[in-house]
Amino acid sequence: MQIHCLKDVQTVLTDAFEAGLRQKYGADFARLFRDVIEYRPRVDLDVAELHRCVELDTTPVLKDIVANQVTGATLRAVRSLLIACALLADRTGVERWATELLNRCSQGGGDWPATTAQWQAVMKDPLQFIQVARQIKYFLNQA
Amino acid sequence: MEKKRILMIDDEVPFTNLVKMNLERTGRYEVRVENHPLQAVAAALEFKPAAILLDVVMPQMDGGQLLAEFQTKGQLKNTPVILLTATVTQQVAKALQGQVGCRTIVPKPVDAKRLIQLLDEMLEMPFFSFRFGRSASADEVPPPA
Repeated sequence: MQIHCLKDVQTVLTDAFEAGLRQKYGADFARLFRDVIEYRPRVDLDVAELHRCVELDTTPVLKDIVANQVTGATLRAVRSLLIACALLADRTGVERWATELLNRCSQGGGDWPATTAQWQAVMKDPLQFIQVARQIKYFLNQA
Repeated sequence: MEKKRILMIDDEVPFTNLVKMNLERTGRYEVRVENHPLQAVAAALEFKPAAILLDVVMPQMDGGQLLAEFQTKGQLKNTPVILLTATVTQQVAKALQGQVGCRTIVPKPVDAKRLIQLLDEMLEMPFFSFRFGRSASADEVPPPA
């Protein structure tokens, strides 16, 4: 593949990461780790910034859930919350948002039902998800 | 004095037991706990609560889905609901003025005194004031034409 710009380089590297992670952790975790790689690169493992992101994302998500108007955008925000909680090593938070994703994805439309296995994998082994997600961010920061 | 019935819907068993104990200790409340969200509507229809304490994130059915179900049941439509949630901190709840979508939210861990105070106020105030979060103050009422 001919590389034209930074975006291409990022895609090539992310694809390579995902392929390697798939071999070790399976397809469901690997797809989610790709989202971890792409999650707010500038925030990294900065605890204060991550807390700020969680606070910012939580309010609209909570409003959508309470109004029972959960859309694809809401689910993307919930996934961001799950990743932020993983980077904060907040197991309760990870389990909470994986529960919500499992609940809503099984009833949702679009591509979301296909992600159900990812949230099941997180619920099965939240500690491994947290550990690897944090290691990925740490590695990317050092690279 | 007749005890007011409170239905608590939350999948966390130890938490529900603790809140039930705190509320019943006041002597003013009879609390029924439902730890299975899928059985919550049936439990509410049977128990006929004066108010409902509802967790937001639960497996199989979340608080929003249950609220929507309650709206379709005539008997439950106007039952006041307090949302209990660990998704927001005390600070965020304060910034939201304790309200999300016209519903009162209480962050977990729950301050038992605050919860009792909220229930006392909610169950003694006229319907419109707690539904919309506050009563209109005198200076918000337009002067007569």
